[in-house]
Amino acid sequence: MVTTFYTIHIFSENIAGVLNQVTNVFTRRQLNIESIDASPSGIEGVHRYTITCRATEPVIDLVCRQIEKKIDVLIARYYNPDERNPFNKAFADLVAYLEHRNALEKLINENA
Amino acid sequence: MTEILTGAEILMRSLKAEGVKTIFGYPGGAIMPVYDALYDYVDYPDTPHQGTFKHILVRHEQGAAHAAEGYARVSGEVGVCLVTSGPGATNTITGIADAMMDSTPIVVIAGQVHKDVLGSDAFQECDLVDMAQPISKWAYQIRHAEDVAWAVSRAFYIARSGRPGPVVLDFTKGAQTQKAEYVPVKTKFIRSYDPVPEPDANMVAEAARLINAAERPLVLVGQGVELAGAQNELKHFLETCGAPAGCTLMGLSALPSGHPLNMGMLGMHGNLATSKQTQQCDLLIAVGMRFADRITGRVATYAPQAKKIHFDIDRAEINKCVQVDVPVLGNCLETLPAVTALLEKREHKEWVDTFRPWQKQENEIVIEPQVHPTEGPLRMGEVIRKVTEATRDEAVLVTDVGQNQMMAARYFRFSRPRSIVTSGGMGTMGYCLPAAIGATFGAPDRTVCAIMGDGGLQMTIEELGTIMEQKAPVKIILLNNNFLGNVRQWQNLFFRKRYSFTPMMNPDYDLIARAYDIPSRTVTERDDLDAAISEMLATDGPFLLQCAVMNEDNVLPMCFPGNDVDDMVLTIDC
Repeated sequence: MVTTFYTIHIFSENIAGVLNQVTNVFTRRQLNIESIDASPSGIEGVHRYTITCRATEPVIDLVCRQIEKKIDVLIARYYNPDERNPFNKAFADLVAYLEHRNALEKLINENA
Repeated sequence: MTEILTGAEILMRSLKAEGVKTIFGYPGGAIMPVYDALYDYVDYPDTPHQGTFKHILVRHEQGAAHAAEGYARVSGEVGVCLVTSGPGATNTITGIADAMMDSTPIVVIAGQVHKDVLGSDAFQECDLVDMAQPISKWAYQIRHAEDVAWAVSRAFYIARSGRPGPVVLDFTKGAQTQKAEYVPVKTKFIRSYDPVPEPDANMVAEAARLINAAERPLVLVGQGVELAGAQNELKHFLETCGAPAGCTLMGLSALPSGHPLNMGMLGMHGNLATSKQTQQCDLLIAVGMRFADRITGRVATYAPQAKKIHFDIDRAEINKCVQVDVPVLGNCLETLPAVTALLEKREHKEWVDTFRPWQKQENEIVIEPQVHPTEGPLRMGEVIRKVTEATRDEAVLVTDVGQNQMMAARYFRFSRPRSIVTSGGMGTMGYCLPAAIGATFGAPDRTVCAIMGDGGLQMTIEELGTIMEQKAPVKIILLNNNFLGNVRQWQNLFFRKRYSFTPMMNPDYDLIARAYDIPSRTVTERDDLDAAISEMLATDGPFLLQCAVMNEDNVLPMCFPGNDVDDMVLTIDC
């Protein structure tokens, strides 16, 4: 089975305990986290994690969808080593996601 | 007008605001302030909020968790469980994991030591949040009274929305006694939580195109249909496209047993026809099911000839076990009608007729000897079939785990939705008795039949005390074979009949029932069965019907682990 060295960018609400929940998704599947980095994202209240891991694409795709099921995780995106500027792409996805969610929240509050 | 209340009182107000009517719990040191607040909200006389809640005192916290599950499964509401810290909290772990695996909405509120002593190994302290994180949708520790209303509202929103599941609130003692302004909170949105994906019109159209073009479609019906309340939408969908359907264990009552397109149960101990024809269909349509290993058998050879459509609310289920061609994400209450609107009215009479020879074969070799034996000891299937006939297929079936579960699933019949309560994914022995108690509160107008084995009954037998106190009208049908039956069956098949610790010595259950003031009867002869079942159903309140069944019976057909889904064995040489 051919594995690839993936980089995963995860953005979450800045709440204690999220990193533990995220790493559990990997350890449950016996996936070795090669490296991990966490810091503020540049958007207030949003934290970012960058994890590298070697796996097959179906596995890493499933891992990202499982990470996104954690209540306080906003988005999780994976990129193979050939991808240029993966963080910028992930950040752009985050911005689009937040815009969409903020608009939806506004609609819900207006309807209420 | 501002109300300054303790955290415990705010919890009461918040639970009431969420529509909670029943709480299953067990008090202890770290949750005492909450129980003191609860005193004013239950049935004690001359209390300010008398009758707001019914609190059911169980006999073990695991019972509280399973009772909350049973309540949730029959009612569709969130089950609530209230326990103390330390061992009280850890005793709910099995129930939380069970609820997560079976997508059952419960909120577990556990006491916790004061925040100032967290981490000091204080008396009855345990890190419940970290234990529960991997097995719950959300786990949160409440440390301040002003967070209670927000946390409770968020907990219920998460538990009941999207794919339902368990939520854990760890309530520190200081937060219970601290005072704060009560500000009601209603959670309708969480920025980072998107519970129901927006359906993709292209996928809906593609699904309809495939269904219209299919010549041998087969629908796999799962619990998702029940969770969505989409039973009528499913029927309309099936009757429009004319596709036969098989139901998973968890989805058995999503489609009435007598519906002409219901071909039976799927899975390891399912019906022969559905298993065989899975490998003959040209289109598999999975609705609210997750392709569990019990259903697929060997995944590599599972319906490779068929295109696959997967209706599901959970993005992470798509392609998790089986690769599909068309994922239709969303709530099937919306997506089923959306696809149905694009369907041509079809009948697949010839295809449906291909199921009949397999049904006939299974009926002759397996079902008739099990359900209508003419000699020998009582069989599990005949007891179950007589119970369902006596209840006109309208009762709620609650099962334990093992042979009793598989036999009940195969031979009970369902005419109403939300009629099966069973531990599917986790397979928790001891689930039945407390879950049945919860079901009697969640569906008080329905007969609740709890079918269990001698092993499962003993795992949570302490809950007979709850039944006694509450007079919960659980009709307990104990299929006693003096074995851990399912493990014995596997030892028979795969371990050369080396029955390592599966024979079990049992107590006198009639004596035990009498000690708990529960009427009971034991049946050993076939001729006594009808009268015993009638007596059980005619008795107001609980009843224990013990049936001495064949010691070494086998649940058949069976797809052995690792076999192809259609490789079903109809007989076993003992």
